[in-house]
Order: sequence, then C-alpha cells, then structure tokens
Amino acid sequence: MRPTPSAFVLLLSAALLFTDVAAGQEVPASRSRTRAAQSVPPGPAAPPRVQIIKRHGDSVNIDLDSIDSVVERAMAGAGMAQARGIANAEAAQERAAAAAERAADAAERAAEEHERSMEAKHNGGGSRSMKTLKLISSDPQGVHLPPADSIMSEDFVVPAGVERGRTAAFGKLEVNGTVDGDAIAIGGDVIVHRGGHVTGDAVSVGGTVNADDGGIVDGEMRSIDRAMSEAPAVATTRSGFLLMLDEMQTVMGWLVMMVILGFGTMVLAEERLRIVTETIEGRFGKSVVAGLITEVSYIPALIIVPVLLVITIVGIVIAPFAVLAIIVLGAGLATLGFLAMARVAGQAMTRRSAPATQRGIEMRSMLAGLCLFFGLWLLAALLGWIPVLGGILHALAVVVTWAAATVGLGAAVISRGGSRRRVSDTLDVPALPEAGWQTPTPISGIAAARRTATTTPEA
Amino acid sequence: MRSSYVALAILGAFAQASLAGAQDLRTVEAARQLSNTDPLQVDVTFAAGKFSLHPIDGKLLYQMRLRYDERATDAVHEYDADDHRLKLGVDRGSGHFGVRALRGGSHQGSSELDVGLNRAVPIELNVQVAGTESRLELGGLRLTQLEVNSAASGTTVSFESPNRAEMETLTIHVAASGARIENLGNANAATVMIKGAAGGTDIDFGNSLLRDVTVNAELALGGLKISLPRGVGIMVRSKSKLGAFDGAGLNKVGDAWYSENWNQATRKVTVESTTFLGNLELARTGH
Repeated sequence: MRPTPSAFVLLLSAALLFTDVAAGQEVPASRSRTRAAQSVPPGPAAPPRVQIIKRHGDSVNIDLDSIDSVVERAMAGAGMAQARGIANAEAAQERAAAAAERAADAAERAAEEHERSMEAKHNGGGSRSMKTLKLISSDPQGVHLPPADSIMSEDFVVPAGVERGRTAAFGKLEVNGTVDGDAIAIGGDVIVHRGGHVTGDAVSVGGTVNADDGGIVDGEMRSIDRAMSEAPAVATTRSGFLLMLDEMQTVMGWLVMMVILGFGTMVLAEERLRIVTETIEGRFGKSVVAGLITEVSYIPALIIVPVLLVITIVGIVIAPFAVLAIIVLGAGLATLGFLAMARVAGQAMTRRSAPATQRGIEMRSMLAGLCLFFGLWLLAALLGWIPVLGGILHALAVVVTWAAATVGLGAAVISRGGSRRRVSDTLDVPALPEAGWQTPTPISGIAAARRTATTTPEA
Repeated sequence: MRSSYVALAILGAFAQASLAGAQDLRTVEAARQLSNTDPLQVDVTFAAGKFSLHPIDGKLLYQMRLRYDERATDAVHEYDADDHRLKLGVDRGSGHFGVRALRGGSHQGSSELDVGLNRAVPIELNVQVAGTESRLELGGLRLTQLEVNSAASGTTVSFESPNRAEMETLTIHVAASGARIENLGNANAATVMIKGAAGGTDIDFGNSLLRDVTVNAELALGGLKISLPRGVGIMVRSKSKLGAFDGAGLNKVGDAWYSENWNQATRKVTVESTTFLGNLELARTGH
C-alpha cells in the first residue's frame, strides 16, 4: 500500500480526535470543520489560526500555528518523497506519524496548560473567598456562616412561601419567605421585603440591611462596611513587635512588683527572709524535695480541706476562709521563697562587688537575683520572634523560674515561713573553740589585754 | 553618640508600630426592630471621638452607627431580651497593658458614635464617655433614670423637649471635664446629682420646669453655674471651702438662702452644694 498525503492527514486527524476523546471532552463541529478544511488545498476561506474548545465548561484557546506547521512539514515531506519517487515510503510514513504525534502532544500540552491556569485561577479565587469567609467568621461583628459550599455564589432570593435555614450569599440577598436563622449577604444588601421574615440576624458585609418595606427581622440588623482587616488577626495573635512590647511590659511589670515586694519584705520581715535564704543554702536538696511535694499537694489540699470542713458540718462556715487562707499562704510562701532564691542567686553574682553594709549587700543581692530571673524573660521577649531560639529561651525562662520558685517554696516550707532556723546541722560552720583566757606577757608597762586562746585536750 | 542611636532606634520602632496602625476606620451599623415597649436599660460606652445620642421614631428599638479603629477597640452592640438590657459603644478589652491604644495610632480621636433610641420605650440610660466630644439630645425620650460619667470630655446634655417619663434621678459625674446641661427643666427629674472634680458644670433650666427639683452638687476644683427662670423659687444650702457663694438676690434664713418668691412659686428648685476650690453661681433668665 502506498501512503498518500490524504492518508497522513486522516491519520493526524484521528490522532487529534483520540487525544480529545481521551481527555473526555466534546469535539466541536467547528474543529472537525477545521481539520476538514486542512485536508484540502487552502481555498478562499482560510482556516482559523486559533481553535476554541469547550473544556469542562471553560473555553480553551489553542494556537494551531505550531500544529499546522508540523502538519505542513509532514505533508511537505511526504509530498517531496512522492515527487522525487523515493521508494522508501515507510520512512515517510514514520515521519508523518511522528509529526502527527508531535501535533497531538502540542494540542494536549496546550489543553493541559490551560487547565492548570484555570485551576490556579479557581484556587486563587477560592482561597480569597475562603479568606474572606474566615475573616467574617472570626470577626466579632460577623456571624456564624454556613459551610462554605452552601453559600450562594451570587445574588439569591428566598421566594415567598419558602422557609429555609441560615442563608448566605455572595451578593444581594432578598427575603420574601422565611429564613430560619441568620441572613447574610457578603458584598451585597440584605433586603427583607413585606412578608419576609428572618428569625436571626440580618447581616450585610459591604452593603446595607433594609427591612423598611415591612419585613420582619427578629434579631439584629447589622451592616459592616468591610470585612475585618487582617491586621487585627495579627493583633489577636499578638505577634511581631507588638507582641514583644506586650511581653516586655508584662515582664517589667512583674519585675517592678517583685522588687517592691522584696524591699518590703526586707523592711518588714528581714529575719524570715534571711532564715529562708540560709535554708536554701544549707538544705538545698531538702528544699527541692519539699518544694516539689508542696506543689503536688497544693491543689488536692485546696479541694480536700474544704471538703473535710464541710463534712464536719461545724466547719462549713469556715470552709471558704480556709480555701482563702490556703491560697494566701501558698502565694506568700512562694513569694518569700522566690525572693530568698533571688537573693541566693544574686549573692553569687555580686560576690566581687564593692564592699557595703550588710543591708546594702543583701539588697544588692536580691536586686541582682531578680534581674537575673526576669532578665531571662526579657531576653525571651526580645528574641521571641526568632522561631527556634525564641521557643528555647521561653522554655529556659519557664524552667529556671519554676526551679527557683520550687526551691524557694520548699525552703520556706521547711523553715515554716522563715520562723524556724536550723543552722547547726546544715551550715558547715566550724565549732566554736572552747574559750580560754590567758594573760599575754606585757612588753612594757601594765598588762592590758586579755585574749582568747584555743585550748586542746592535750593542753 | 551610642545613646542617640538607641533613641533613634526606639523612635523608629514606635513609628513603625504607629504606621502599622494607620488604616481606615471601620463602620458598623446596627439596629433592632421594636418588638415591645418594655422598660430597657441602656449602657453606652465610648471613648476618643465624637458621640451623639438622640431619640428616634418608628419601628426601631435602637440604631447605632459606629466608626471606630478596630485595632484599638471592639464595637459593642449587645441586646439581652430577657434582661431588657442593651449595651452599645466600644470596648477596649483588657490585658493589653495599654499596647492596644498604641495600635490605634492617630485614628482613635476620629471615632464616631451615633445612637438613636426609640421614644416609646421607658429607658434607664447609663452613659460613660472619655476623651469625647459628646452631645446627648434626650428630649422626647422616656427616661426613667439617667447617669452620665464624663472623663476628660466635653459633654452637653440637652432636653429640647420634655422627657416623656418621670425621672427619679439624673446623675452627672464629671472628671477633668466640662459639662453643660441644657433645658434641665424639661428633664422631668426629681433629683439632679452633680459630682465632679477638676471640671466646671453649667446647668441651664431653660424656660420651664416640669416639676420641683433638688440639685445635689459635690464639686472640687470646679465651679457650678445654675441658670433659672425668674418665676421659679430657689433655696440654696451651700458649703464651700476655698470657694464662694455670694447669695446675691437671695435672703438668708438660718443656714439657707431663699429667693423672694420662694413661698409663692409654683415650681421650686432646691440646691444643696458642697464645693471645694470652686464657686457656686446663680443666674436668673427670662422675665
């Protein structure tokens, strides 16, 4: 069989048809006509250079120049082969088949490219719509929207005599019947006509709400000129610079409060603070254990104590006061312990500082300790915006503060709020030497001094 | 030199925050249809902007138009049908340590609130304003109680037409504010209480008095001026420290000052004032 150019074109058309069928699309008559036109020498009516195909309801524009050029080349090749009497018709057939395949690929690529662009467009629009819906839903002025897929995509009318649930539309929403719930128009007006009834709120974002015609709205009629901007959402999550500012203010506020409390404690309960400090230094391990036990048992105590009091009937009256007392006691011990812990930490930091009075040293120690603990929080606030480091710093601040509070609380508990000192078995203080008296040999004149001298059993 | 760089950086950061806050105000309009005329308690809170309140006719219980900076405040429009309570205005929220105010930037003073309340409903009205230029036109409403708290504001309360309900108490608290009450005679109030600090209060009874009124004023660092129609009898008991009340045109009997027409007057105003560093001034209007 000797192939002819017409056969090649027929093959090409079949290949194109196959690609369309494979894509599950309808092949319009115009396309067939175009192909038919290409199968005959060009006449007065030139074939269109752009092919329009309906694809999933969208128009696909395919530039046929590239396809036609391939076809023309194939036809030219075949024609030349025939004209020159080349016997190798199979080679020409292969070239034509390859050309047809390339043309089919080109058409397929064009269709796919269009489909991708349409999908991107749809997705973009969808995400924008979703964003709007999300903003409206999270807006304090907004309303609870129905599921996104049940929102009308254009103007919508609730006909007279029809009752339906919560209704939302992108566009104008007219209510002639009954909406059992909210009626929401996004980017349009809500109009409740005479005979119309909305049992919930009538809300318009970007439009107005009108029931002047005699419609009834049981809820509120509300119109918002625009959806909530995204800025408040950012503000709500409190991120960025403002979050940092917020957090720093909070930390500074706590620091100032603790400094005031610390100095107040030093003035009013210096001895207790000192004893708790010594307890931390001398009985650190026991303080840790006591602190943990206290923390674990605190909440149960808050529950059990009033329950027991209520069981006794007589204790019902004092049960609320007992709860209050436990709360106050816990807060007081924790604060006292934390201040003592700050002083201990501060002592280590200020050991090499200039000498001062005992009170001055203690105040300096406490201030340094508080600055140390809250400095961690400030650092975490400052660098909190850095993804990993911020989390680590916050975690570090939490752990360090919790550890300090636990140890301090334990020490405060062990020392009964700083009222019981047990220094002898805790501090590594050498036993005082047994006092003895001797009279030094006078160098000259009257022996005028007496001083202690260590006496040993051997002595 | 280094400190100036730090200062510049801080200023820059704050400027950035302010710029971030610069955006258009948002407008919310809310209204509710009138379903009954049960007594209603209305609380209005507003700050930093212009505020107006007036009566409305027709079938709306209330209507509100609010332009506000959503970064600094939240719009409030809550109606509790069971408790017959309505809250309108703005709320700054809490727990922001003032940072939210910073977010608002320069827009905050541009906020506007316009509230309309139905004439047919008996209302207990409580208004709190701060940093606001307020005008409350309350004539024609059915107010059974009115309390206005004004801080750092210029507030005018007016009764152009008579209050359609008898009001037990009308209370005005002013702090660092100037307050003016116009046509108080139409308020239909039995007792008017003025409490204030660092602000002057101007009361004009207008030309008529619907009922006898007792004015209790406690003011510090601020004066009180009361303007009354000539036909109204007036009695004044004034305690003043570092202030003055000259009692011009009044006769002193015991510890009180009386107008000459006190016994004949069909309408009477009793003023009991305690002022510290402020004067009490009386003026007669009309013929």
